[in-house]
Amino acid sequence: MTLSAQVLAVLRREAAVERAGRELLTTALPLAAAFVVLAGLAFGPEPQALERTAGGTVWLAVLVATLPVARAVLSAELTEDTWDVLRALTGPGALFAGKLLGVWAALLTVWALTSGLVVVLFDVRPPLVAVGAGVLGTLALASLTTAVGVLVATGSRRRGLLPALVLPAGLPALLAGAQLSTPGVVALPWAVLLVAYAAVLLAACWTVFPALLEE
Amino acid sequence: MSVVTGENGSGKTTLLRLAAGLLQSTTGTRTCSGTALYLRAGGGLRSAQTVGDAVATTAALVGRRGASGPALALLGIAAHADRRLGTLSAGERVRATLAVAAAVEPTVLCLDEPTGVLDERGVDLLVTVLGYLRSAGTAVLVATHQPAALLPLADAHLRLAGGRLEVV
Repeated sequence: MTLSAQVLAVLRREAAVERAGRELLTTALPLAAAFVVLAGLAFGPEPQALERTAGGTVWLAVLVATLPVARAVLSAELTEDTWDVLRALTGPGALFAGKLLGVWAALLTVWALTSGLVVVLFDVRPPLVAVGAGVLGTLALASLTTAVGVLVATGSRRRGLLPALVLPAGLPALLAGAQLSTPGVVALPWAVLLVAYAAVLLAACWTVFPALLEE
Repeated sequence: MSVVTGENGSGKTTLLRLAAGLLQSTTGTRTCSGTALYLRAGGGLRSAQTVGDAVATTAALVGRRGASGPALALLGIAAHADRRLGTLSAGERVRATLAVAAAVEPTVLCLDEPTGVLDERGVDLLVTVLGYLRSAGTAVLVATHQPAALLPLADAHLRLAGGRLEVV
């Protein structure tokens, strides 16, 4: 099988598992939505305060959602004894890419939902560049979540490390995403930072992933 | 086909995981020219999925989605194809695990304790599947505490004791 065919097979399996269990639908999305609603109540009702905090609220909600997403896409494979099968039947490249695309799709869905909620509840109009930030920022976080999620999931004593590792390493993407989603912010420096950081993170995680699989 | 026996904690699972390439050995080398699949009895499939979907999406990872239907039929669980794995009995779940092996037809199959929860018919089906895989060219390594039913099919009976592997 070609690499792309294997990646597609892993991704289809991810979709089939989610269709069957609806774990993301019932954990990550409600959690992120609740976060946005509570943030709106905490930061409002002044329109200026809501406008300033809207971007950050979206990206904190995405960050909060990375934990249930990592559990559904990565940790559950270990608790259900399916990780060994995936490792045996797919190459590290296909496994990383397939899992990454699964996590990315989940985080992108969370981002789209929370952005929509922010537009409605906070009554703000994010700049157009926020869409690009959403795509690239969730890609950076998905790369990190996939790599760190595997590292953490393969050692029972490391499970508490996921938030401790994802938050600092994902900070540049979160900051840039929040800034690019806020009206009136000069976009170029943040856009450059986000593009560069997403590219570096993706390349680094792709490179180290085979080593992370070793027991 | 080789049957591996040994007391609890003697290293059977470690041996199988080493053979499957899931563990890195500290000394020696391991060579495998194809797919080595390690399966723990009853594991290997996500419990939220239906039996048919789980076996098909797993077989699809090696481009053998079409082999899942015949594999389910071989294991006598085609009628359960639409049931979620989480609702199956332990024995039925082992059969679903074996269906993965039959569908994938790996180069090397390392099967960990498949006989524990199987009834008489389940053991017969296990022998049938292992015979089928053997004829298809799969090298099979089975770790078990109940080797009697498998030994007639085996080329070798290996025993792990005191950290050493000996031919019985």
